[in-house]
Amino acid sequence: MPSTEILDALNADPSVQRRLRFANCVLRIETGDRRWLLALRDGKVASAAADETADVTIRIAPEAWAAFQQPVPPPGCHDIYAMAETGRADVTGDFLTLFRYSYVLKDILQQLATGRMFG
Amino acid sequence: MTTVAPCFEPAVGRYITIDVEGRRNRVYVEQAGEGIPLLCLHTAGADSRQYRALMNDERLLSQYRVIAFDLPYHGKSSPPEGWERDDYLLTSDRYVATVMKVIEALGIDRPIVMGCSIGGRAVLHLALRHGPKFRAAIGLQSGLHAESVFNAQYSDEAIMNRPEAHGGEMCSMLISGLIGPEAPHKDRWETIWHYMQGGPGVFAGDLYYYFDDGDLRNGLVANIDTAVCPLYLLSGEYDYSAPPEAAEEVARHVAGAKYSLMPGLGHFPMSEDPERFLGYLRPVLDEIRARESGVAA
Repeated sequence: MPSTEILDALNADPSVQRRLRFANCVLRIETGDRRWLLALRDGKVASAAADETADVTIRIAPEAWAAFQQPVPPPGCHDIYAMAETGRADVTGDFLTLFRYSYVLKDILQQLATGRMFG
Repeated sequence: MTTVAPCFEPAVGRYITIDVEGRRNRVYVEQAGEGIPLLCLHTAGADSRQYRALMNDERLLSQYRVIAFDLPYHGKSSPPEGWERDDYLLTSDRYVATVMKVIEALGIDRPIVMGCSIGGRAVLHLALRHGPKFRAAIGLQSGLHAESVFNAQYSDEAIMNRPEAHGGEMCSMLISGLIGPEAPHKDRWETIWHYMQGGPGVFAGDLYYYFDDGDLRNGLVANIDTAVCPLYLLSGEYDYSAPPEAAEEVARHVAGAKYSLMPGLGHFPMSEDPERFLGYLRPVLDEIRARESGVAA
């Protein structure tokens, strides 16, 4: 599960708060042997219960995840959609949910990788 | 009473009315500077504000008349009467006809045409169909075609404009990763903002040209005569939609086309990081000017 610091940073961000006002979904993020199951619910990002079903699952190749953490990531590893379009990540599930909350997803990924926000 | 001079930027915006495919369109046009006309075409789902930095670059404006217009349905250009009964679809014929009508309405003589993304495709169609009418063509993020692993979702009744979605947020989100990671924060988010302001179905309608109708894998680009209309291709390295390899492919098919990579930039070079982009654009414009001088001499 993400650190408290990461969740606090996400939930303190005004754009995350605004975008999650009506959210109720679960995202699964996987890279290598790391797994995060996150609930976007009640206006916040929180760890989901282990038995919750993910609406969207994102699997990122470990090499791409490592490259994403660089100060200036190389082309194809600089964004989750770049990774998906170039075969470095696999996205499955409900695409309407994915597209609705992708800005928050990007913030989550940036926080997990670099401690920064996409925005 | 003391009067203070207004602090206007150089760009002046006006409207023209053009007939395209039998429908009347009120089109917004901006221009700044004096010299060789440089006609700029915006990307899908956006508008002429993408060229705001070029419209404010003194060096450029001392040599070029920079002109940008909003396609019908985009920015400050209205959709034609009756739009509410139709789905908006941009076709190759409609796009080319619109550009040529704007040129005619403005009375521009042999502009350099520069376009990005769908505009980068359009310059190929324009060079192919109307080469002698242009001094040169500059394709930013050009390609013969485009594909996406999300194509099925894009075309799922235009997922970005379904009633249960916020169209502006969806459209902007879909392009937000196409911007280079070092783009200035302000310009990144201005670029994203433009996409948040598109009308319903407009981005999807433009993508019809980008993914389907404007496909140039038919061999026709080999007929572009670069002796008549020189073709320059500039590609941002972070663009995964119209990647550098796509422009390289164009260059392989068009004899005499000149291709350059733009390190550090993504899909929206002129908008996401204008200063970096101008560094790549100036030598191309200089070369076009030098060629013109040589031709004149």
